[in-house]
Amino acid sequence: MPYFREEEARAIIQDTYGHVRSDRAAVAEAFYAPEELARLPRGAAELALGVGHPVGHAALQPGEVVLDLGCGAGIDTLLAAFAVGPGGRVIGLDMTPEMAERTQQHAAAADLANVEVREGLIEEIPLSDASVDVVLSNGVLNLSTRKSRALAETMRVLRPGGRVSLSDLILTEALPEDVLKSPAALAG
Amino acid sequence: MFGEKAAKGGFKTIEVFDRRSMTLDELAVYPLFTPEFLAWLKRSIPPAQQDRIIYTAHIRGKKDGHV
Repeated sequence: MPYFREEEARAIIQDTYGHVRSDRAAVAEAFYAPEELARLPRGAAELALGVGHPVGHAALQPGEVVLDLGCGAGIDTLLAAFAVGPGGRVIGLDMTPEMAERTQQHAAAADLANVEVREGLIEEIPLSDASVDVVLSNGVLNLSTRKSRALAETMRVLRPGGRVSLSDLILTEALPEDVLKSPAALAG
Repeated sequence: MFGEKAAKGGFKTIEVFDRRSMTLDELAVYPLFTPEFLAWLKRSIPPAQQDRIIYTAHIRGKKDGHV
């Protein structure tokens, strides 16, 4: 049973992620190799909020077009941009304006001209059908109140033979009702 | 469950791996959570559940067809 309406959930998530600050890269250091982090602007690593390393599992090839759902501050977007090279393209999509702006800034700081950032919803991806080779996501799908819709949109934008590489949280049992009703738990 | 949703979404050759539990203590590295919230979470979730309720996993899948 959903405890938040879609608009409420979106507002809570945007507020939480729009205001998050960090001056240490503890999350990034848990999932990424030091040599990967060394290539990135510090802010991209300090604001890593994912739960895995979808780029590491995606077997990206030079020239591919990649979409990063919920790109946050851009850690996976930037690593994907390095992997696909100047002949490829990576689109970072985030519904939180502050996060989209951070990815843009970090891509510029890393001198990556093959990154494009869009503000938008993963349930209504602002891309045309069959326009992407690979879709990445890191700790984002669990935040959606319309997961099936987000997956359907992912399928729509992928080219035939396209791939998804998704890291996320799974709950194996129901959380207590008080926790399910908590805005802070929803955003995490 | 995550893999089932992906399969229902039409993805083929789905692989689920790197599945591991995430303890409430591990959440402390995320700047999304205050110490007060984490303390409340520990009080709210029965101790026996705390280390087995949240998992992380990675899913890889493919859309049917050829490029």
